[in-house]
Amino acid sequence: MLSLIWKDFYINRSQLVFPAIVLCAIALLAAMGGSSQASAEYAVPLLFTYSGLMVPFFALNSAMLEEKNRTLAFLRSLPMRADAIVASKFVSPLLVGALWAGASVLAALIMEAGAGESAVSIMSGVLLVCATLPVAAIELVVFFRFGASAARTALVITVGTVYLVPLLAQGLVAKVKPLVMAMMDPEPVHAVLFAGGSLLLYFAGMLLAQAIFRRREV
Amino acid sequence: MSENVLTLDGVCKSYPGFDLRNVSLALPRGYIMGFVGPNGAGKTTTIRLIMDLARPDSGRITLLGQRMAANEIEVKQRIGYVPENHEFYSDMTVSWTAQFVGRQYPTWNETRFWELLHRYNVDPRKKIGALSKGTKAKLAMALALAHRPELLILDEPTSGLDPVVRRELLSDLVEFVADGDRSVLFSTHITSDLERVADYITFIVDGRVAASDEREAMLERARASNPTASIEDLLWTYAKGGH
Repeated sequence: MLSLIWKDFYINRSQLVFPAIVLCAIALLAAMGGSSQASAEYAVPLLFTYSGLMVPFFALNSAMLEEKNRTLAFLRSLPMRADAIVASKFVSPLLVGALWAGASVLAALIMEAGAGESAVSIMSGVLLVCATLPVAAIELVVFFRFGASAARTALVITVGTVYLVPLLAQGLVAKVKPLVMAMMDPEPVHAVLFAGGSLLLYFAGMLLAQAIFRRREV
Repeated sequence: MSENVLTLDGVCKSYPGFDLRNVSLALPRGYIMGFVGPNGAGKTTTIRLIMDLARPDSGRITLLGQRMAANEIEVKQRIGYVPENHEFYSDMTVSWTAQFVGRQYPTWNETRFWELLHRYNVDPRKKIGALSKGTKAKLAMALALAHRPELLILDEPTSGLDPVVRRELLSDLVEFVADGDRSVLFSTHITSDLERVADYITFIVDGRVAASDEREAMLERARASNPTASIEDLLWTYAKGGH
């Protein structure tokens, strides 16, 4: 399975380059003493946007490449279990998320040190990455059942439902605001519960996708 | 009688509009078996069942003395498989693909792979997407041979190849079984390929095995009534429902 994960990282490496450059630039600016409240106001939304995109888009890109090359059949012909092929598609984006969360925490700490005050809770970026795990799980389950185009549609619908609909619906904005505020500065116990729940859903999605793939393939 | 490396016993598989019925065959160690039939006869379906890329509805498949479903990894490590369509990662290079495939086989022989690549004249720096169909077939063959499998399973390896590459590939098959310990099953509808290399032939027509025996024995029987009978004549007879 390690070779499958490495393969996913290598093939999709271009997707990781630009976010890495952004992170390095933020950290570098902060370390050089250029960090101020104004630059933090610019950097924080950027970090948040990437935190929301990294896992689902890495998963989608990886799935689309397999479909474009029709390489799932190639992988099945090699001495590896069908379950390992599916698991690698879940583990690789999870590792990308973990790497991104770790790197963005580091960047936030550097910014915080530069600005002399906390611009935003460090945990909130990590929580946002966790919040995208169930979205990626839905997308990958749909991929293994219906293919990459359906997975892309599922991603759009899920993101729309989860993030946009409550904000657009009249009367819900006020109810959602405390939740968003709580996410921006979470209690440690809530953060752990939220991350644990997201991971649980993610791995449940993986087991479902494995069962679907096994059934579909053989 | 030598040990069989591949045995299919009463294998059935149904798809909408197509049935594979009661397919039985046995390939002894050290020989080449041609698996021949018209387009749509069930060659690829049978090979997919052998490779555990699909499960039979009934019947039993034994590879190298084991059931694939129970020992998938171990059995696949001892098999070289060349599918009909050579699907690799198009943006990756030949050498990257070889590294990735090589990691899956404990018996992978890097030197042997580079030798084959050199012999087939495949540029390792080229991206897969830039290779012609023939070059992809040669790469697939090199990947399948480099881990020195005990059984080589090829699905229409020569279709779409020019005569030079075809001849090269067929002579590699003969060389492969020369030590008497390795075997080949290859499907084709090009009967001249079988004349050249096959020791055994299995005819499959309309999802059923029409005949399976040693090539010379089959031709001898056919020549009793038609002295110039060839494998193509036999295929024609079976395809038309004859015996």
